[in-house]
Parts: sequence; structure tokens; C-alpha cells
Amino acid sequence: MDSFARNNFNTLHLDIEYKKTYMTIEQTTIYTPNEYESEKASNSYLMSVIAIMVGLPFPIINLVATFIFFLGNLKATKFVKWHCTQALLSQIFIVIMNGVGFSWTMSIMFGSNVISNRYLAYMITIVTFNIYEFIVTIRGAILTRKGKHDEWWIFGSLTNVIFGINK
Amino acid sequence: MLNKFLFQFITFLCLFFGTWFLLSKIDFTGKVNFKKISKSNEQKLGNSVVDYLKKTNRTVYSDSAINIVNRIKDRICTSNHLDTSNIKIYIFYNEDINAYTLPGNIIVIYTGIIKFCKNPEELSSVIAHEIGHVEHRHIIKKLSKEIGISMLATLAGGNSSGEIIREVVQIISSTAFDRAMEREADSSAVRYMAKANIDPVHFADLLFRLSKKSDVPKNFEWVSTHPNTKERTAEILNLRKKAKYKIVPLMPDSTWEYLEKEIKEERYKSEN
Repeated sequence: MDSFARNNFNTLHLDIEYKKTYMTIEQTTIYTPNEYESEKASNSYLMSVIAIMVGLPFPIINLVATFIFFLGNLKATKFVKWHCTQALLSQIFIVIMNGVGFSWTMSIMFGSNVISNRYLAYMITIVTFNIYEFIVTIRGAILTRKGKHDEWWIFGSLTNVIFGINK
Repeated sequence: MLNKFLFQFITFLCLFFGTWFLLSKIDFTGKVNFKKISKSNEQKLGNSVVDYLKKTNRTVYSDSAINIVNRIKDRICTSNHLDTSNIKIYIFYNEDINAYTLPGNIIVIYTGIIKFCKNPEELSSVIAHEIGHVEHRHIIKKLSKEIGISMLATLAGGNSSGEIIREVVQIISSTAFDRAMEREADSSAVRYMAKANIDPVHFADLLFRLSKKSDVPKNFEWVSTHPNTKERTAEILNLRKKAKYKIVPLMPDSTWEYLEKEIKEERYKSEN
């Protein structure tokens, strides 16, 4: 190896060593929740799923159940609180979306509104989003039960903002 | 992290409203379905119902009475460039204050409502309102909602039992159109009357007198498929303000009096 290559190879080797060391440091700081925490965090997602069975077609029941569970875990560990917050935030969005659909349906049934293409399109849209949210909630419940951290799109970021977590 | 959340949130909003917007372009309400029932089948269904009504009610056969009513219809249709020969009116002896449309551009008027009208202008408002229902094809939309589009297609195809026709008559004569359809027919009626140089105030007068006769109690208004007649009266007077017309009498008072006399005499031909 000529002197140019040797010098550059040494620098490159040092860089790789530095990065390897950095990655090792990151890996050793990952938090692993205990069994009790995992169960509690998982239950926060199950709250909204169970309430769906009871709450249909009243969209507020899901939010109430999740909120009560959130309040009950205010003094829990950060892992549990984080997942309770994520579950609660997702339910707030769902309630707003479903609430509009519910009041629109009531206005058709008891008011002067008629079933229109826009109404049916809205119902299909919210049903699709509800199904997606249901699947993601079940997945979240399963993953957190295994002690894994499941960060959702939008709600995960918002929860991080609330908790002041910068990634 | 806040930027990440905002970016994801805006993307979500675009996705949500984009999906809604695109789906709303699809015709879900089955307006296309109404075209599947051909005009001739609609006419067959209407004729079946008229045949049933002729067996169960006494038809007014006085030619002069029918001509007078048809003159009102002709004036409304010709002023509004509607095909008057396309719309057929049948008058039956019945004390109910009622008039309704049937499939196939048929209007049924009961003598009860003719007697209730104080002048020919009020009767013209009833006819104009029913023509509004005919032009907007409300009856087919209503029947398809009540009995389903497939049943309607079967009936229209001529496969109708007496039992089903009876049910259709029951639906047509006793259940109301929904509020949006009634509003549409009212607005058309005012427009038709104005173009025919008939003062729409007579429509408001008729509805006002009807509201005194029978009205849904305020508590139950939200259940009714008929808008409150007082509300309709107010709306008609509002539409009248925007309409342009000059008053041209429909017929001499003597002609109207003659019609009233013919109706009272109840000259009919039994179908049985």
C-alpha cells in the first residue's frame, strides 16, 4: 500500500471504529419495560377497543374510557404514560371525525338533510380510517405487551412533543 | 420534533380530505338507477295504479269539470314550456284534502281539495306543486326508497300483484315526500305560477288555511317528513317577492262556480 492510501486507510479505519463505538453506546441505553409496565401500556390501547363494542354508535365512549385510564396512570412510569397519551390523542382525533359523521347521520334521520354523495363519501372515508386505527391499535396493544415501543404516525410525534422528547 | 408532527398532520389532512373529495365524485345515491326504469315501464306502473284507483274510488267523469281542471294545467305547462300532453290528471271523488303524483306523469286530485280551494288560483297552486314533483321525478325516487329499486323494477315491468299495487297506493297517498323534495316542489310551483301570470300568494293562502286545519305539533315536528306548513308558507312568500309576474285571471268566476257545482253533484260512472 503506498503512503497516500496508507494514510487515508488509517483515517477511514478510525472513522469506522468511532462509528462502531457510537452505535454500541446507543444500543446500551435502550429502555426495556418490565412485565407490569408492558401490560399497563397495552391496556391503554385495549381500552378504546373494548369501548368500541359498547360505544357504537356513540363515538364519545371510546374517548371517555381512554381518558379515565390515562388519568388513572398519571403517576405511572414514563413508558406507560407515553403510551396512554398516544392512545388518548388518537381517540381525540377519532371522536372528532366520528362525531361529525354521527351528527350528520342524525340530521338526515331526524332533520331535513338527505343522503347525498358527499355524505356517503364521508362515511366511507371515516369507516376506512376507523378500520385502519383499529388495526394499528391492536398492533400497538400486542407490541407494547411484548415490551416493545410502538410509535405511531402523527400521534407518536405529538406525544414526543408533549413529553419534550427530541429525536 | 414539532416540525415532524406538523408535517405528518398536514399530510394526514391532505389524505383525509383528498379521499373524501375523490369519493364524493362517485354517484352513490343511485340516481343512475332511476334511468334503469324506462319511461314506458313507469307509465305501465302508473296506469296499473290508476286502474286500481278506478276500482276503489269513483272517478269524476264530467267532461266539463275535467276540461276546466285541464285548462289550468295547460296554462301552467305552456307558460313554462312543458309538454302538457305528457301530464295526465285524474279526479276522484274523495273527501280527503289530497292530491298526489303517480309514476308516468300522472296527477291524482281528490274532490276534497277542489272543494277546499276558494278560487281557481288556489287549485292552480296545487297543480303547479304536483307538476313540480313530476318534473323532478320525486315519485320514483320516493318509491325506490320505500320499496326498493329491484321491487320497483319488477312492478314497472308489469309483474304486479294486487297486493303490491295496494301497498304502492298506500305509500303514495299517505306518506309524504321528504322535506327537501317538498321544498323543491314548492319552489317549482312558485316559479311555474309566476310564469303563468298567477299570483303565488294563493299558494301561500292555501297552505296557511291547511295549516289551521291540521298541523304537526311543534314537539313532533322533527319526526314529520313534511315541513311545517307555516314554514312553507313563509318560504313561498319569500320566493314570491323575487318572482316577476303580472296578474292575469285564470277563468271567469262563473266557470269556477260551475266546476264547484259539478263536483258537488257527484256525477260519476261506476267501474264495478
